[in-house]
Amino acid sequence: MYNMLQYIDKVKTRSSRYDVQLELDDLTVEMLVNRARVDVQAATIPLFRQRFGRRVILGTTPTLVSNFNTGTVQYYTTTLPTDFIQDEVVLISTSDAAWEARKMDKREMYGVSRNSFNKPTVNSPVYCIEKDTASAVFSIIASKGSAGVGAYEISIWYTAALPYLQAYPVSGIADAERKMSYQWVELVVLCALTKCYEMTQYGQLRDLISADIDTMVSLMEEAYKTNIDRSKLLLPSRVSLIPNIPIMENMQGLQNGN
Amino acid sequence: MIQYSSMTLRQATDEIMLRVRKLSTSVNFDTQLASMYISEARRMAMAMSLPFKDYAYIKTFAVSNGVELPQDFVCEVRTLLKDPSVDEYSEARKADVREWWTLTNTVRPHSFNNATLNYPAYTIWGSDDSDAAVWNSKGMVVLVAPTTTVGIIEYYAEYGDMVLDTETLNVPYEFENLIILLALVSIYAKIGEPNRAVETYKSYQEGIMKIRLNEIARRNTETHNIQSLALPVPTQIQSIGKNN
Repeated sequence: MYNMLQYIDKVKTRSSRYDVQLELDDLTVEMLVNRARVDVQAATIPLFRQRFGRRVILGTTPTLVSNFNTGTVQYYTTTLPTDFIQDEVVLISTSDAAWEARKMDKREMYGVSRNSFNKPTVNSPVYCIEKDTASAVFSIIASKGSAGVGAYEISIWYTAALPYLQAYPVSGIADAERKMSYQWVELVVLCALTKCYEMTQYGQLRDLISADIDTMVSLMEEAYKTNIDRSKLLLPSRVSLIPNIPIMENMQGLQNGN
Repeated sequence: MIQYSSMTLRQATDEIMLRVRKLSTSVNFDTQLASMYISEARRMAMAMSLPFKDYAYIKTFAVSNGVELPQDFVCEVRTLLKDPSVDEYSEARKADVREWWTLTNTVRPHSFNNATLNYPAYTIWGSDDSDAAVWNSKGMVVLVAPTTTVGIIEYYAEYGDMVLDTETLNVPYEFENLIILLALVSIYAKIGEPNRAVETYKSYQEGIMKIRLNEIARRNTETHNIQSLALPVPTQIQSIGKNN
């Protein structure tokens, strides 16, 4: 597992050594590595989102949204973590159990609240997620019917953005990367290298590394697809020993139009 | 006759140093770099061959609820779980996180599909954090249901970095040469020999294609065997005495 200093070492070692100190100081490389991490995450989220998953219990007390009040249904809102990208599962707990909440669109919120059979209750809560353009973070709006939603009651499973890493934080200990696969880390190094070559105007070297990146991403995709296909494939041991059985029997006496 | 044994890092580094010695200088190349490129090449060769040689990269890891997976984890092959009080394992189903609550909750359980000791389930997700400000785990976490079950996960594993010069490559025999070639490609690119890099890369591509074709041929043979097994089984009932 690399920390940021090791990332920087790796990039510097592999880049052409000429003018490295002059044009690529540690902080510049740090910036490029962080930018590369964002790029690589964006490219690989569709392949393995579980690597970027988090499960968090929201500790702040949600506030009542007064203008959404429909009498028997009340909505509460609170902010989501700043690294939120995409929600997967929301659980809203009562005193004795947690219940999975249904996701709803804002446009069906009023209808859901008024329905007789589909409205949110304590054991069938609902939620939606939105972001005001004036706000820096996403918010969740949740309801358990007429019951209030308190602090530590909303648990969310979501895909998270990777935190930025620093080589020289105040603590003095360089930030460590998450436990990503080696292939993923290699992709970050290559991607940072292309950015370094761009800065130092080594166009040909940048193209060479770009080809490597393409190969690696296509390999990841191929491995992913193979894995999906394999799950659908009948193993040889499961192949029927009696192949080619006709689906329909030849009905004796019913041929020739009889 | 020299009996075959897996190549060590020292041997691989030596071979690379010999093959590029006329081009390298102490400014642009050293043994540390060679070993770094060998480690990278080993991973690349594995990634190239995983789709058709997957059985060469399998590892086993003990799991229980909330255990963090190791860094070399690529993808699961299967998971076996059991009640700790009995000996017999059951193969666990993998559930997506979005169906995890439905499969595992005990308050409103499925009547037919709930995870049980005989029919356990598991899912894999990232860090399990009580507080959004802190990432508790650095890697992915396995969740099992019922939560008391323990067992093993078998998974495709990536190679880490090699450190000691006595460490062996531990790759399938036919990939050793490809690893050397791939490391050479990176080195030629680094020391400014793009033509040699392209030539070596072509040799590497030819090598991997040969292995791939061999593997496909082997699989086809397996299919033929299965068909021959199936042929003697009668597909029509023949009543004795009615052949005439």
